Amino acid sequence: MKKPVWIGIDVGSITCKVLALDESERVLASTYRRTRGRVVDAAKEGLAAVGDVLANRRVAGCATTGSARRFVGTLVGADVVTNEITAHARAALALHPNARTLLEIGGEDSKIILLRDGVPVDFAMNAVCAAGTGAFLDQLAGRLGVPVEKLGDLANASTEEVAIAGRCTVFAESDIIFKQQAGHRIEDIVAGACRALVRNYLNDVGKGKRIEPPVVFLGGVAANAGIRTAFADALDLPVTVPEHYRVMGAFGAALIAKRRGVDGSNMRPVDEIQASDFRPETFACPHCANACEVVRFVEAGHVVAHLGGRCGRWSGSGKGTVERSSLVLTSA
Amino acid sequence: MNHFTFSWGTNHIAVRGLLRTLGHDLAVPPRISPAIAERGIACAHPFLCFSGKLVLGQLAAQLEDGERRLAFMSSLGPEACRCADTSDYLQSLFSDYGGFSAHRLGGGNFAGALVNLRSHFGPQVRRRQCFKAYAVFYGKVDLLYKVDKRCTRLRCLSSVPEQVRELEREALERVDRASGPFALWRVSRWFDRAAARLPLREEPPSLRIGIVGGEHILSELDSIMAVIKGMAERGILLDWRSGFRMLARSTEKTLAPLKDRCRQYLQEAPSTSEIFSCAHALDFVSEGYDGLLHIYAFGCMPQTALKPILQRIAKGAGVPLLSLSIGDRFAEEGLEGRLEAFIDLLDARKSQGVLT
Repeated sequence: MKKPVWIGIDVGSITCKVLALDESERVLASTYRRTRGRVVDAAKEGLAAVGDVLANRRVAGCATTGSARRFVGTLVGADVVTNEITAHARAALALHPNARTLLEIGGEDSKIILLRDGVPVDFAMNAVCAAGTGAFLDQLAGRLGVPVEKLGDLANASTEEVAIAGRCTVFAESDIIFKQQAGHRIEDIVAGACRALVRNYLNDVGKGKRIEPPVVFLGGVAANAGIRTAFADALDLPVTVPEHYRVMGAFGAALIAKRRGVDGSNMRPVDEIQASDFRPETFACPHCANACEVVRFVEAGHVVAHLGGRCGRWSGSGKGTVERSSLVLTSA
Repeated sequence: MNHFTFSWGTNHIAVRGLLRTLGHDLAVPPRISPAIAERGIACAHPFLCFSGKLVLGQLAAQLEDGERRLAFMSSLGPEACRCADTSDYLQSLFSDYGGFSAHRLGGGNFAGALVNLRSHFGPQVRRRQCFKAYAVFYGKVDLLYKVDKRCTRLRCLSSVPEQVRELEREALERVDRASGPFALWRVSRWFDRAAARLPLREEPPSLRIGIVGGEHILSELDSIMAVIKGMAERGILLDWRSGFRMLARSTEKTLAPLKDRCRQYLQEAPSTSEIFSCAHALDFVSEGYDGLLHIYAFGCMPQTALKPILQRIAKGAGVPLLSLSIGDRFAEEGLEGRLEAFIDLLDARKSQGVLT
């Protein structure tokens, strides 16, 4: 009999992460790639990237997380659909059981999670602004004409302190233009922008939160050495970046799938997923004045599931109907 | 004569009751939707709070449908936002619609209310008519609040949530049809009996969450409340104690004890909304609720000012608090993610265990 594997898929606004976990909760394979607005394709490509592991193992559980968790959960036949805050906390606790503060910066979301004695006691996420997120760095890289992956190295090469207004990405861009015109080096501007992002994060997401060590920094932005340094300086605390920092959401999702304790998954075979022409379509429900936006998932010319609607009308329509109430709570 | 108004959830049913008592009627306002929000955003000043934009969206939609006579009920308390008399602002905003007129109903006391009704409907309005109209209005406000709260609790406690939804729908229809205080009393009695007959779950609620925040966003934003009420169907007891009823009912006299209770937290001259939210948060933590949910419209000054105060209350009591600012777009996905995580956190705290 093949050994079991648990799959975690984290599809966010900017990137898609897929991870495979073995019975001793060791990471067998993981992948991290840009979504580029094509959620279904990104998930398929992610699964293909860990295909070798899946070919030799039996899928015992699968969980999805991230902003496209329900879409992708329907596509792959996920056993658990969970939110990204819970998934990140779960993963960080597995690697750093003594962690007391988790900082996470994703593509368009940023969050802080406070843990005490291994229990999450508080969290916050960015509200209506993405200035303290990876989107800020993407915009910065675009403006400066350098790959976003190089920003950390550039920041580390800074020799002079340059202040950048980081309260808003638009104002930050204006400020960067001005600093360029004023003749500042690109390295110093990037380091200033990193400090601005961290300042924004701490003043927005981290406001009023008691940040205590050990501090663990998660998410794709943790790859940026400039941000790591800026956090350590601003907090005056060491900041740890865990081994799987880029795929912690997927790691947490796989752990949640595994710890459900059910050996046997509803996940569809990977070749079936790859061959699927699964696509979401949106329509306005015509049955009342609410005109709810409902998403229907279509595959091979048939509607296979619905998502959305406030009255429950669309629950039970389509063979794999996604009901909010049946999927949202990992702890239910 | 037909009138139109905006909706704070179901408040238009009460306004319609008042108007019908005087021989007039009220168009049913369009439901809150992303399209209505977009319309409001397009015509509102950008600094107006999100609730205000929703209201303007509803009004603009109805004006384009040919409605012209706006009748709206405002708070009697010391509000600084649109619960106050906004007739002049609306008049200037919608001056392009020929014949548009905005009329605030209510007036702080009976004499003021009578003056307002006479200025709107003419001097023929008699004191007795005015008394009956307000008796119907407040009777409906109270009953609508009771139906909303009780049905939300029942969604958690009942073993058949579909029956609760059906009961709520029928109750709202009956409240709308009731034409006088006696008819409302009968509806209330029918509702109590029907609610008592619903089968209940055997297990107690898994969590108890107290909701505080902007009365407008709590009562009118169907989308948000649908997401939150969905939590009740999963065994979470939700409670909130403010809303349109409180604003319509509040007076200096009724607010005084609440204000006194919040003395150490609120600064001078707080708004009604701040007093309610602060007092109710204190009630919830003293009654041992598992968590506090603070929901407010982006741009709402009183609630924004209240956020750090609620943080102090929650921190002092060791109760988790989630503040959700709803702003300019619905973004249900992000809202649900935060709510789910909050519930996971409360569950983990309650069981003192590791997440899932």
